Amino acid sequence: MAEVKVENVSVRFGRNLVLKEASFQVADGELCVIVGPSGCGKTVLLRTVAGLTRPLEGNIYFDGKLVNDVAPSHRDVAMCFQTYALYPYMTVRQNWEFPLRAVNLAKEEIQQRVAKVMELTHMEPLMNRYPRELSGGQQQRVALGRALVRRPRVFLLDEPFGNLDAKLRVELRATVKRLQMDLGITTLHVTHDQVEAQAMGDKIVVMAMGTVQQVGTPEEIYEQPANLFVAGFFGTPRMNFIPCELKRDGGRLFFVHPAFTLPVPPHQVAAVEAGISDTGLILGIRPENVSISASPQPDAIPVEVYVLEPQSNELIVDLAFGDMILKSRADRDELGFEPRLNQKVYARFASDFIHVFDRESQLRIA
Amino acid sequence: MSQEAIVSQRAGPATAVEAAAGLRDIWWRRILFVPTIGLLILLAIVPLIFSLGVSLFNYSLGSRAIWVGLRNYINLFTDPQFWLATRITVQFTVVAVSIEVVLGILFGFVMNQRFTGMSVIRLIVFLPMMLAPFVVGLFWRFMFDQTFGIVDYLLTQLGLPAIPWLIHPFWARVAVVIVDVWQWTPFVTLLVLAGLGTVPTDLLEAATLDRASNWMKFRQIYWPYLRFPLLLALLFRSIDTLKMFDLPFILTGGGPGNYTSTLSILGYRQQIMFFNVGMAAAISWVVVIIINIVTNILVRLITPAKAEQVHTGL
Repeated sequence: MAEVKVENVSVRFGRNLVLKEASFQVADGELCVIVGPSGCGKTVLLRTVAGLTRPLEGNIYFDGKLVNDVAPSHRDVAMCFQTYALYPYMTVRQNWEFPLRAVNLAKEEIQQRVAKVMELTHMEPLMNRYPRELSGGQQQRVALGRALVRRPRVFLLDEPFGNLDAKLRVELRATVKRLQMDLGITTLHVTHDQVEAQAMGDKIVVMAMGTVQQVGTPEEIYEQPANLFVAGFFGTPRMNFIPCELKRDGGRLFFVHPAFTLPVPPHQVAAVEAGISDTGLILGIRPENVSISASPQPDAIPVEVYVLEPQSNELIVDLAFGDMILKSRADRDELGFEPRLNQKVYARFASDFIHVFDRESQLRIA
Repeated sequence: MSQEAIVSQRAGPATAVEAAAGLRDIWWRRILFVPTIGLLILLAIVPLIFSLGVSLFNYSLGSRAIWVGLRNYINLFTDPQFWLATRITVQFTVVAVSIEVVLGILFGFVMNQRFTGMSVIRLIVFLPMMLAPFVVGLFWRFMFDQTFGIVDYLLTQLGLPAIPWLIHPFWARVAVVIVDVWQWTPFVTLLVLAGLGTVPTDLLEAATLDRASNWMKFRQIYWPYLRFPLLLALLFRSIDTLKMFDLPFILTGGGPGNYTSTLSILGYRQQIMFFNVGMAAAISWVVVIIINIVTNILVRLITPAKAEQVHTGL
């Protein structure tokens, strides 16, 4: 068990700087999810923590001790590879026993640990198969299992559920989270799935194009996204972005868009005034904070129903106004009316949940 | 039109003219094989059958061949010189090939590492393999010379006794093995390197993070990928050494006594010195049979058990 600290780590592959000054800290026993679109450097970051990739500069600490020059085999980390990296000429059981035999664990202990992981991953009927006799999802479970049989200082999981079907993914997500909590082993979990990141992480590190965009708890990331990328990456459907100008009228501030004028919510006035530049701003509002009604409301925008996407108990409504589409998400029961296609309705933004970003720097203002 | 449609249209001959053209085409293709097959029959199969026939005759060059049946073989098997040559040939093969394989694996692992200057080192290591055995034999004969040779000079400088390399029955055989190892270890190294190149990096990384010992890594990760190249190396080297002729012929001339005379040298003597073509043919057939047996055993020994088979791409 260890506290992991990544400090200004940069990695270069040939001419490309694939990781730029990444810094964050994971507390002992914490589950930290590194999330971002493919090619953003998350796997490289994980490999650097494992010691498989040498950083160009920057430091990595385990429990405050610099491990830059500690060989990967001495860092005591267990990694679940995205490529699985299963030993092809060993059965599932042998694959799992391998890391335990490597440190000369007692036979009973080995059997016990393997049995436990077998149960967690539902591999009972397949224990004597070779990797090539398994499907992609089964191989992935073997790869995950080979990490889970160990009791390392740090777990490094690289897309451990990427190849599983939706049902098993959700189940294993909970299993791994619970197991990690019980074992109390610091875990770095890489994924491109924002739902998985939200569901599993004690802490989330959001990455894009080789740089860390934001580090925070799932709530912080969701409620106070640091920039447009983070705001757009989390949430389904993603946050609505509406380019606006700011106008002062009689001592009050307004967001002005060709289709509407809205007062700046009182709690945001100070921040907006302080942060504004002349380049204009972008107003962000999540679909669940857009409510629609059949009759006019104060500060509501007249829109037209463009597409209806029913979910199980929710309804996602695409609303057209001007040349833009605004997405709204609501419980079907709480809607109060049945929207029809092309119906004229009124959209209202929950003023407590309006996000304001600078259009040029893309950073959060309020 | 899609590609498939074009292909299916072209598949069958549409007219009698085209059908005739197709037939001509097939015959033309067959005719093109004639020179190759003809050469093969002329240069490989005819001599093989001819030599098998000759081995059943008492036939000296210039005289009439007399049918003797298996007499040549019976004479051979009752001749102590033949048994000495067989023993020496097998000794050379077992000792030299074993050393070559062990050293080849060692060098392979060393040279698999990447650092600047490795390409130069590789070139130097592979150099012996590229030299003609005749040349190799000549300059090693110089180096092993008891009076002028550098080997004994270095030994005496180190305070060790000089060794009568090429004139002592034991040391002469050691000398032949040393030179064969010197020349052919690079070949094994080359194949080992090829095998090492097929080991997936992520497996090695996984084993490293799993804290596998070096022995575990060798046995569990590298070995399955080295089996096949090593089988090839063993086969090539065994076949080559069982037929060994040029090296002892130049180094020692088969002496002292007959203590470095391989089966091939024995056959050569029967043919060239005693003009006993029938006997020479019999000896070469014995060599062929020995090689066949050894090859079969090796293939069976080293073909991976089904469980351990991996696709190496080789």
